[in-house]
Amino acid sequence: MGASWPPYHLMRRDYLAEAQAKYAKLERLYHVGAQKAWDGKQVLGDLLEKHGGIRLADDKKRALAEIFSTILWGELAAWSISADLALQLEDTEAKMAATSQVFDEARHFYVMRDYLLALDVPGGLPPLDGYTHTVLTELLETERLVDKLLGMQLIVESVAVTLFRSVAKAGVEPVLSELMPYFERDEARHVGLGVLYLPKLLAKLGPIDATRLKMKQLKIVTLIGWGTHLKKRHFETLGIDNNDGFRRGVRLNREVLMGMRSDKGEDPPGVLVGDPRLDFINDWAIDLFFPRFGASVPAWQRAVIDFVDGLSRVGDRALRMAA
Amino acid sequence: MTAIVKRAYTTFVTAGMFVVRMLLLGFMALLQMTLGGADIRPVSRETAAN
Repeated sequence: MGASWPPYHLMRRDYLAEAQAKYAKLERLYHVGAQKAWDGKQVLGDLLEKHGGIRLADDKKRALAEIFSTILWGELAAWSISADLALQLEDTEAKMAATSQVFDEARHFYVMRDYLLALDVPGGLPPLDGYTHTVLTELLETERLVDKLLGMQLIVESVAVTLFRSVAKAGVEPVLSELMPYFERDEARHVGLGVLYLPKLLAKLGPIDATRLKMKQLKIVTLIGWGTHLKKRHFETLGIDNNDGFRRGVRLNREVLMGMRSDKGEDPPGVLVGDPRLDFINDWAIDLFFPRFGASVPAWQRAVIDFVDGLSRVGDRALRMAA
Repeated sequence: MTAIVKRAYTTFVTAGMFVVRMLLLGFMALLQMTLGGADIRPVSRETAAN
């Protein structure tokens, strides 16, 4: 570090002009984040007072805790990962955006912790499932910036945005429904950091690294898919339609990928999620594995889905062995 | 377990689960086309506004 520090080029006017031209939007994420920062203690306190606390049947409390335990620990992981990014990213504008994210994730973590404590789940908060544990520990442990950015900013944050919208839309619990838009607005900015900065890192990838990154995404997406099977009955208890959620997630991923295309419309190397060539598989997988609420499901399909749900519990146990 | 063994183990389990999922998807698609089942609605034709 000694020879290259301090980075005097950060004060050169020509460097600053070039960086501003390239990354002005990233710097804006930081300023918007500062302007839109909300007081988590105040917002949660006001919502609890407005709705007279959290009134929910015990089975719904347990279902909510099953789903939001992944969000709670996901926020903690996102906090650490965004701090890693703030430390490692070299461009000042990207560093500022990541720094802003660190504050957001800290707020998300303590608000979610306080909400779950107020929920007072019978039997306490369930442990993290094997699928989410595997995804989060891999992203926490990797030293590759591109893996952290792609995995956390684009995939995990996109899943979080989709889940927040689904929970708010389902009107599961009024305090949570009104809390979710605060989280969602912040997460959308975090996806923005990935969209705006990843193309620079991806452009440096060789074919081997690009393939490795695609395999990593396949691993994360596979784990998220099986993890959703594992939690399916809890989503159903809360009246959340996974079919609708997956569709929204696929559309969001496509928008994210389009945002990373070059001026010539070329996709960045190493990105698998959101690729329109996978639409065909997604269409079939969503409607076959997660038929929409109210759809007429034949006996054979119900039997296979029950079998898949059973397998998801086997996979969970297998992955927990490594936890 | 050391980190590298853990990584190899989770990758192995995930790869197996990916293969199982793809086989099940193929099997279900075959049944859907022959016996009928839930409608397959292409996401690609849905608008982003939904």
